[in-house]
Amino acid sequence: MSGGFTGRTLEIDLNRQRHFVSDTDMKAAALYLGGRGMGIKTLWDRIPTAGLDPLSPENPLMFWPGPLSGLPLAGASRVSVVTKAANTSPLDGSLENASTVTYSSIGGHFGPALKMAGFDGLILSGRSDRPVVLIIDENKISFRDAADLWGQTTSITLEMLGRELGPDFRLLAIGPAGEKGVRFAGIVSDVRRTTARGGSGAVMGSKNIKAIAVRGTIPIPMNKAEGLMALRRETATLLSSWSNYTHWRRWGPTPLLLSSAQAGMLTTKNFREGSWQNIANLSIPATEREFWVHHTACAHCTLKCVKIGQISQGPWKGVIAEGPGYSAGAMLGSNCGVSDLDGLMKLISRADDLGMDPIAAGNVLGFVMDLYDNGVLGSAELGGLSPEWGKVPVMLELLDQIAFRQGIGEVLSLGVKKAAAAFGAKAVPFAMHVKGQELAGWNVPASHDFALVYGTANRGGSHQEGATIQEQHRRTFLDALCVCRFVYGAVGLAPYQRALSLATGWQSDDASMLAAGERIWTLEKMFNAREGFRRADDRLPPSMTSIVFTTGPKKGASFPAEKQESLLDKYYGDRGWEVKTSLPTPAKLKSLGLDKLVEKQS
Amino acid sequence: MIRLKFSRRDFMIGALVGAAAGAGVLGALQRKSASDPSGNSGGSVFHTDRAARITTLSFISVDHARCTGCGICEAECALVREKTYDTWRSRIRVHHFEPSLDIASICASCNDAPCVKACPPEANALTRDPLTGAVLLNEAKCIGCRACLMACAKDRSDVIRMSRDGKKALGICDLCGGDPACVKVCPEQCLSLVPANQDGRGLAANPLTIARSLAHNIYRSGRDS
Repeated sequence: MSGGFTGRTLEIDLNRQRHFVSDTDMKAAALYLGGRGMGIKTLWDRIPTAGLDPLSPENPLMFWPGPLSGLPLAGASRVSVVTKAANTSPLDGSLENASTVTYSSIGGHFGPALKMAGFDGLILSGRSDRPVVLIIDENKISFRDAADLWGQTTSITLEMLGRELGPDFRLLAIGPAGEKGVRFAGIVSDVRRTTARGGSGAVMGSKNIKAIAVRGTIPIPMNKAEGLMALRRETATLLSSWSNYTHWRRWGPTPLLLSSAQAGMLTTKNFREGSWQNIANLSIPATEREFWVHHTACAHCTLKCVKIGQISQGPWKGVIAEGPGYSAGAMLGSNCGVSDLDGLMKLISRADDLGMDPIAAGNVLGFVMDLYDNGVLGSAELGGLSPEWGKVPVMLELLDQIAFRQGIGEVLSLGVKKAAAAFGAKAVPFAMHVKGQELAGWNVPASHDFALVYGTANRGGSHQEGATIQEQHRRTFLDALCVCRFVYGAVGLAPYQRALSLATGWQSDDASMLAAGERIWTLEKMFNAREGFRRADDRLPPSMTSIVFTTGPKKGASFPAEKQESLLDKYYGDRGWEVKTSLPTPAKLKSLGLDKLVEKQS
Repeated sequence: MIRLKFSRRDFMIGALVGAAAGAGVLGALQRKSASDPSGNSGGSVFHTDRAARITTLSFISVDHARCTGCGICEAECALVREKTYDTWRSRIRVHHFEPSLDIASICASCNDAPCVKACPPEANALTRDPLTGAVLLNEAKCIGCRACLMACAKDRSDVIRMSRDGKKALGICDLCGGDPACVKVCPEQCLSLVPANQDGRGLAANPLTIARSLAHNIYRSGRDS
């Protein structure tokens, strides 16, 4: 057994509430590492045909830590959640349930705890006949009836389970949105991190799992433990000498709201503008002065990005929430025209409590408000609600209706793409998504690179993937190791490449790292291609090209339609993919060693 | 940064937490006047007089409000003291509570040391360090009877646990002989080694008790409406 892996994968068959431990496929691990990589490899093996309903029992929900998880190394604190996405769909509508892969990664302590419980991965399949909590106490696996927790918010669920199980369990839970199958529901962790993109919460809800608790203290076998001890110190020193270190520790990602507004990259009023006159209300120093009460960190990290606050006045006095992080602050804040911090934090708190992706939730609310503003939807269609820009109480009501799928929420719970189709042709230009995945908090007209990021991301309109092919592969490699992008931004990749070599004994150089990233990325692409996604699915919504900023530092900025095509032409060409269809060529697949894998299924 | 405004009453509610630091400062002041006959302490905060250190009972005080729960102290303790990644063998453990609070729990070197009293005479595995006053565990002598564990769990910090094979007690902090590794590595500077000369009962609280009193201070606007 190579170091860095426990060699054991925990599989749960929910149909019979049985568990068994299988050997981790170490041949696959050498090629796909862990995290997002092992996720797509296993998904490819377990879903042999296109069109599987993501909310069916056959769709596996997988939690994959990486080969560095469980090591006391800053940044190696994440876990990848991989499954078939619940919210994406191709333009070609011939397969009813066609959707992309999704890989969502969260920090905190869950990933390291799962690894130290002795497992390289956790695979849930089937469907429980009643709501349960899955409890993994190292080698003791048990199910707790969740009838009392079903329907509760995530914060109540986490608090009740924490009290019951004691402080050494790390927890994940879904809220009412996941239970009801809201297509953009997420899974919320005990440090208020959500596996946001792709609807993994809906998949977990469809399996009748309310929460997962893990306790793990078993150390991971290491190839060169002494070298890693030295590397741990070097990485900590490197991180603390990052030029932005003290600022980041104090404020986390919140100041990005200000810099993004200055660069015209913010999303305001459903992507219409790139700046927001009231952004200072929602960012530092207001958050620090009026809101934050406590800072929390992911495992072994000194950046402490988790900023927990409490509303101290007004109708929502006492509400505890996390953030605003950049994405949630932009999408539930400026994108909906919200101007007050208390209102924004109540919205974030409610979205977390209901267990939904705050990015998609902000996008959906902005979409409804834009429709109302333009007269496409009136109060009559909205059950008497008047969602004017920035009206927080109405937004809260809409969030609840979405989570419980009542009234207009029934349609909105499908996401903007399907909701727009239901509202008619007039609504379609207002839906800001790629492949059905709601776009995130970085606007395109002043930063055309994001057209490529959103367009080519394998899980649909995600902002995380990087704008160049190399950067996409580097970040894929990071996701496979389950390393944090913020820490990577501070210390670079080198410490993690070295850590991988020291942990596993494998040689890792730049070429093999990029090759692993490309292999994972391409297999994800092949998964999507099998579901019917093609070049046309990689485009931004055409209405993005008609947006021209009317205010702010980037007044007049726009994204021309021909730029879209030239970006994609060059991208596919550079990747060695067919420019017309966006499909990887057989030669490309062969060079990555994917040809046999793909052939087996076609 | 955390901006906590304490009213006098809040501070009293948080007395359990505050007591740790408060007692430490008091102890330091008294010690200074009693045992520094040279009177040349000047501006230095370091002990220069070895005799002063030898007679000082010390413990590690934790500023729980600032703890971020990163667990770096846990890893450092295991690496420095046990040469292992196995944090089960750390002498400091971080526990997570909801709403989000992390409590670093560590041996308080109780003055009356119920664990030492509980250790059966035929084993005699627990003694006190004459330099720091810390409780020392002689692993070779430990018979794994769990008496110290029960004594600590009963009304103290509950820091003692059994090794994986169930044969030895673990988790008693020896203050690294007076220069604790965790204190040096904590990125939030939550930990400090302070002298103490009061009854340990007030200092050794179990993590849940600390979390409950701390929650009043941090989430002072009450619970969700």
